[in-house]
Amino acid sequence: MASRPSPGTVVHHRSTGAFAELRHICLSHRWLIWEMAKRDVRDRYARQVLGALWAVAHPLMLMVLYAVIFAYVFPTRLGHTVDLPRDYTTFVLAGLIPWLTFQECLGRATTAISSNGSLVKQIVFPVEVLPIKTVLAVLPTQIVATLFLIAYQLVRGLPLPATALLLPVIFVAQLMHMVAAAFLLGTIGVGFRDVKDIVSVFSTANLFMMPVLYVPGIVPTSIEWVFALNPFSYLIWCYHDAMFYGRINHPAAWIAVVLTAPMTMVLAYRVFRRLKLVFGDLL
Amino acid sequence: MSGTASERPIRVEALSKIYKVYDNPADILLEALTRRARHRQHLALDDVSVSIGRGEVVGLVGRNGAGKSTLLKIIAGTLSKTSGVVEVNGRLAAILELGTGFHPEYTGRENVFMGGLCLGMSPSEVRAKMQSIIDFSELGSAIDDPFRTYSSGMQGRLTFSTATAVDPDILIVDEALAVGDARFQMKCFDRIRDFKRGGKTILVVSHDMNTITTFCDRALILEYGRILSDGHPRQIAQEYHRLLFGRAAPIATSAPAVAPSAPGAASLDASIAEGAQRYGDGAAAIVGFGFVDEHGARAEIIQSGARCAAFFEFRVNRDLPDWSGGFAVKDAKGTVLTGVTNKSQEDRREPLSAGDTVDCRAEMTMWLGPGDYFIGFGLAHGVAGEKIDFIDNGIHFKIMGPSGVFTNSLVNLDISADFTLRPGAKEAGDPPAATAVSSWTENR
Repeated sequence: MASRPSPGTVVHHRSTGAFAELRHICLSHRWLIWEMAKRDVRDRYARQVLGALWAVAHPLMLMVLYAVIFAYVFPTRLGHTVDLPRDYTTFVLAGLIPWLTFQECLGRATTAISSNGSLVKQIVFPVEVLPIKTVLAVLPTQIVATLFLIAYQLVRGLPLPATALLLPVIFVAQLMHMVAAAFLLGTIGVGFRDVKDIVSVFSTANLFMMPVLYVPGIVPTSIEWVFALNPFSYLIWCYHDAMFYGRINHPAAWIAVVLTAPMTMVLAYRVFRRLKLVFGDLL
Repeated sequence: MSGTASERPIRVEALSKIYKVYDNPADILLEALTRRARHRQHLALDDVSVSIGRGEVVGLVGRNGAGKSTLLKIIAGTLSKTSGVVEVNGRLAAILELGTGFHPEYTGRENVFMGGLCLGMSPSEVRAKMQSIIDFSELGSAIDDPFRTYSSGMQGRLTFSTATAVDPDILIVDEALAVGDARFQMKCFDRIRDFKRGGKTILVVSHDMNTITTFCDRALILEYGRILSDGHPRQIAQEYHRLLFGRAAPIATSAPAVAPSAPGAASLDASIAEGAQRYGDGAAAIVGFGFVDEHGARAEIIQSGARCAAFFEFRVNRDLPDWSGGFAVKDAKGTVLTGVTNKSQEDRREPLSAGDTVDCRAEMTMWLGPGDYFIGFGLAHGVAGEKIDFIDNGIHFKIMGPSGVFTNSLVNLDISADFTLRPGAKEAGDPPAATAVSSWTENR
């Protein structure tokens, strides 16, 4: 009779649309997701003097460090031209910030489910919540770092580009891609725990396969096709457009990242949904 | 989709579950890549079909490894099925293991909070129910200690309180009722009764037949992953007992309902209980024994308060000038609860000659409380002297009920309590009792 399942309801054998289902999970379990994400962040810094303050302090200190390094240690004359309107620090941070978050998300997602065996196995627990809260729990880094980047612009006396208004758009798209990655890696991590180390090595390597550190204009052509093949590059290009160029330099990247976001998320969720009942056997 | 014909809370059809057992995690990957099987199979559930209606309280019994927990977990949705159909309609709460899903480092309070959210409550709902959950669990100030510091009883109490606080439509309980002391169990049962009255559906796994017969409307035996029987709890309890303690040889041997007039009775080997011990010098031999209810049927399970009889028959091999023989009823710990011999009864000590046969029968009313008991039979020279033939714990039987009293009662006192309400007189200032006390004080 109740056509909409109540939160605790176990729905077997009802193939609703994956997107609607995912939305329903996020809505009905919003409090659980929120609380678990909060705890995830808190537990990371448990028994430390500054506690959860580290969630802010850590990315902030990292950003200051990068700013100093790129301004004084490796000063690269760049920018303030029409082609390259801002300085190298802005360029690096604009691309590095989303990648740092994404990288953290990938790493944590691999154990999001496998490290919560007791929840998965023993009670009627909405397992979907685990990858989602993992994504949520890495967001403080990005938010703090982005605020730092904005503050940095203002301190340098550079007005924010109008394209900064597009940040929420690309941010939401990134969020969806991260949820997709978390669903997939979380699922793989259950049966194949080695994925944790594979992802860790990949993350380190990937930084050099994306247009983050390379000074634009003097990128060796041999590496350009690596960028083109790396899906993460497209996300970085969008952030470059929004925060560095102040114009849509990479329209293809925007289309690719924004349009594929909901699709990837739903696809990943479907894979997850198919396999989630096997988790109990494997954990 | 939801309004299909079968709106039964739980419907399971042709459910099978095969566990794939891998020796090595790499085998999972190799199997996926090469598509060559690298696992052993374990059939945990084999074509199980069961349908449970609203307001039904169903008990699930079975030996260890029979598939009970697997079935519960599949219904609860934490395990995958291999084939078949599982339908669950309604909000479901499950207590599958002790302290399930609770984080050992968090305090009890935080765990209740998270547990409530997991079960689909909003933070304000959980906060509103927090105090009643804590009160029910009786943890008091310990609620703010880390969960890992709790005893298993405390963990169980908190789990039960939390899981039942969400007011589920369907409650699944896996042996968790065995936690806590007897008084807490009573409270749990009370809550389950409330659920039952509220038309909720409950599925309970228990090894305690008393729980099954007292609380369930229906019971199922699971054996080797199949449903062996499905029926009235009392009948199921008997059948399960037979399954557990019956021997390979059919029990029929003792069933001949051997009234003393029809001796010959039980062939010894077939009816002797597992764990029984026999010893003696063989001057006489017990050739048959049994324990029957008032209708003369073999009694493996007997209702507390019912009439029953134990009997044995022995043949004398050598002349016995002075002998004693009788029965002892013991509990599972081996404590002798009562007993009777020819000497304690009426001092019959007539000498017996080789070739004589004696029938002994002890009639009794079973005033013991629920539990497992044993009856031993024995013969000795003189007054409990040299043993002639002793069969310790020859019969194992269970007592059910009585209803309406503590389930951990030791004895049946045929107790009944009356609670008469005397509505307080609203006009009168003092209740009568208080007046009496004060007048008594004044008189002093």
